Amino acid sequence: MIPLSHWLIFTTGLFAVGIYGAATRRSVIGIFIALELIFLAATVNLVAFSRTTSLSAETGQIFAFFILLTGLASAAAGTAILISVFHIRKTTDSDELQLLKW
Amino acid sequence: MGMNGSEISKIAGYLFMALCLLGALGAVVLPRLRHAAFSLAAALASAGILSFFLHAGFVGILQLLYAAGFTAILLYLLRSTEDKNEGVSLSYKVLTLLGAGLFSALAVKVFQKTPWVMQSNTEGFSFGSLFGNYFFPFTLFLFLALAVFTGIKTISKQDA
Repeated sequence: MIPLSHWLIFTTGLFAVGIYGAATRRSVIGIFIALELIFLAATVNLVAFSRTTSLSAETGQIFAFFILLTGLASAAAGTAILISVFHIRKTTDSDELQLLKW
Repeated sequence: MGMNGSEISKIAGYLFMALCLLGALGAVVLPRLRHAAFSLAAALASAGILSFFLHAGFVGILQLLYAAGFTAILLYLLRSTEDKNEGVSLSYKVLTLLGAGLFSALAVKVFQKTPWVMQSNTEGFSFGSLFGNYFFPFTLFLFLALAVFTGIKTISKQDA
């Protein structure tokens, strides 16, 4: 069995890659992809913790299930918002999308 | 001198971890967003397979379905909007890489110092618990999902 510390190092790497992507991408879709990696790190972490520590296995898997479903709902909502914004602004560049400024 | 099943499983686990990290790196580094989307799909699918190594088959299957669904949504989004090449200054990339590396080193140090309570757990997932111990968060999630889908319908019906 792979030890917990190795799972944690792996998910930290995944999380760091996600942070790097969210900070360097300019397109909102690119940022969206990077955020998905952060979600993924959290999901794997929950399952690994529930398998290897005294925490009930069910708890970790149920919360992983909630994270996955929330991620899919946010993907659908993000798609609708982005397509709507693209119709108005004709771009997905985060530097040019300043809709909250007035 | 052959390897036993446990060792083979461990090596396969590390291989899928490496594949997942490679996919994740591709998702943030590849300049073309379409390629990044496929790379993300590889990372998500590898993480799904990794769940099987943790005896979480249900989450694994869900993760694989999620990989397919999310990639389809991303490709539709890229088709509907724009798939452009991204360019960010090298100094900014180096700075962010340093920050992410520093964070990882700090987190690994914390993991090593923390006395985790270890106990191998082989308990499985049961749908019944969604209607038992976890009934409240499950109901809350369903209402949240309903609100999200109503919002999506409203947004997509708006005229540009």
